[in-house]
Amino acid sequence: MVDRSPVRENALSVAVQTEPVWVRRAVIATALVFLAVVLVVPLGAVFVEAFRKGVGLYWKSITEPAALSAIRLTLIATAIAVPVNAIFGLAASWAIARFDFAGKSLLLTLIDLPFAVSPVISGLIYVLLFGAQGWFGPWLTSHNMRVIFAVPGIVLATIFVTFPFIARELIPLMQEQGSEEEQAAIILGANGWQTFWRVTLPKIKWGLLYGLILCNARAIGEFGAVSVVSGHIRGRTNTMPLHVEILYNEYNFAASFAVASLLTLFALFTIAAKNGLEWRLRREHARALEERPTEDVLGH
Amino acid sequence: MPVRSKSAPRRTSLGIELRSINKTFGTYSALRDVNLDIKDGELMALLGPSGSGKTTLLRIIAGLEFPDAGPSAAILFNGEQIDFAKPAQRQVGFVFQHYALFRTMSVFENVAFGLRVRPKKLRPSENAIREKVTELLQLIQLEGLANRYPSQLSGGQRQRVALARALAIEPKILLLDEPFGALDAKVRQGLRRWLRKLHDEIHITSVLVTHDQEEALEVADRIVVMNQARIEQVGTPDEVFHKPASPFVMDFLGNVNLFHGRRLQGEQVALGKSAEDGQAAKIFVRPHDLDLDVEDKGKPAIRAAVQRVQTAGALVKIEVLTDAGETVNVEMPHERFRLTPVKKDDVVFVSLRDVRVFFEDYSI
Repeated sequence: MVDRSPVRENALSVAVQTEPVWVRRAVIATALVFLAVVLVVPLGAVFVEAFRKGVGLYWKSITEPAALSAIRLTLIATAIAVPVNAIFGLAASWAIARFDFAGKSLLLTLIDLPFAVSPVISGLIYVLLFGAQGWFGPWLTSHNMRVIFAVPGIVLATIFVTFPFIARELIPLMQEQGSEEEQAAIILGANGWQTFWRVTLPKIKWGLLYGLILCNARAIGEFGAVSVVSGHIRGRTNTMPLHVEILYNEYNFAASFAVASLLTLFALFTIAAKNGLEWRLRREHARALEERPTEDVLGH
Repeated sequence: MPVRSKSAPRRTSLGIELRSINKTFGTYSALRDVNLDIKDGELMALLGPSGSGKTTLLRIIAGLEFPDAGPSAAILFNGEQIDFAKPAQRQVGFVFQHYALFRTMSVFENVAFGLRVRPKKLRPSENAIREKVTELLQLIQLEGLANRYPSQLSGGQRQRVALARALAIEPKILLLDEPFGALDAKVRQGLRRWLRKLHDEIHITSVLVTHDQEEALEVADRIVVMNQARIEQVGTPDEVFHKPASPFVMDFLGNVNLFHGRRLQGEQVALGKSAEDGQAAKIFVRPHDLDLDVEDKGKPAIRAAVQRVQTAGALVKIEVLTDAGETVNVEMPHERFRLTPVKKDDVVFVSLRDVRVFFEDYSI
């Protein structure tokens, strides 16, 4: 969730600080050291290991057919999961924010399910449904279709674990904004389509983009659920995180870290984009609070 | 309903006619058998406490809600039945209490919205839109702020933009839902005078929802007083204030003192519960319709003791406690107070100048 607390509060809290200097320094130092050990060093290690055997090998590791196939599959799964979840997220948040219906709180609870359930279980659900021994397994086999150990399973598992991100971002936003602007648009003669594109979407665009970025990051990085349904068929059902694991298990460290470095770069990009958006959302929020001119007098 | 005399010229176009409108939300009844005629070109106020059904009625006129189906339920705009027509087909302008301006659009684009979303065949040219919006911005005296966003405007300015936006589609009817409710007192007063003036200029049939009786009395041509999902009275501000049709209307429009009594003969009423058996009566008196005397002058009066005197204000407000233990509020001009000044604990005689009596039903 985006933190939308006004920036000004920080300035106030500085004034009432009473801790002695050494306490402040100790607290800051602890935080920084912890951050370095847990985050910065491992992050650096990824790149150091990736380039340990030279740029040539690095390039070869990420362009060999199995790696390219893994990259391609990850991009396909993401390219399907993110738009599907965007549509689901918009529909769910619209329904929850605008209508009262039976099962509303159940829907709200279920949206959080993928956050609560272990990704491995999420994958297993699909194996139980579509696997050879699963509920729909015999039917799928008789129609010569494969879901488990194939691309459809990977896409389904990715959709499942990433569907809360956009909905979770939009629901509070739309609840806060209400639906009066939409009612005004309808009365002014706009149809549903015009109301959505001209009124609703511009209102929620930054929140939606924020949700898309988080959803995208998770879709690319998902390991557990995808691992269960994938079957790890090299060159066919391996995604990037699975490819990293396989290479590592084969003691092919340089190649493993090379592919991992791609994922890391993407993560860094995500964080930068996320911070940029948060800054933007905060600024818009602050602007709404300020810039209120005093009442002018109506002259005649 | 007033009976139209035969010689009076018959008005050809009735603005809005509502027939047997009922509305229930689940088990809650928001409107019960509402019948109302709003004349073409008049400014009608729907006045009532919260939960009286006034906003629901307004939203039904707008087409944001639909009345319950019923054999005689009908809504007519200029004689045309539009019961289930969508808001856009009704050509109404709607002004929301919390403005509902499009936050991602400039003032100009807000006002232009209703014209821009028209189907291509009916859409005015870019130049015509520009002209129309500029004209409306001049009307609301905000032509300099066309490029501002709603968040950069004050509350009063926002509500004026909302009004211009509603007027841009040249609606047949203007509906205002507590339009000044979110503004502070000073701005509210200025804005409602301005609205009255505007209505005198453009004569658009308007319905204004308010819970502020002062606002209704000041702005409206006629007032509909609503209570508990029903219409209590329809009339001009003078009629509802001076000839209230029910105890509720009397009580809701201005301050009032309540005395209990019993009917004697015909229209004669005795104060107090000790009187002979008779139909129970509620006697309402406005604070400015009471006289105070410091001595018994022989006319019918109630003995009381002064509790509080408040001289700060346009009128002097005096609170007295009768011997029967009832608190009575009296208001008088400063000139009269100077003739008979009283102070706390003085004994006074309260006489009733102008009263409204409502008899209670026997039926239980």
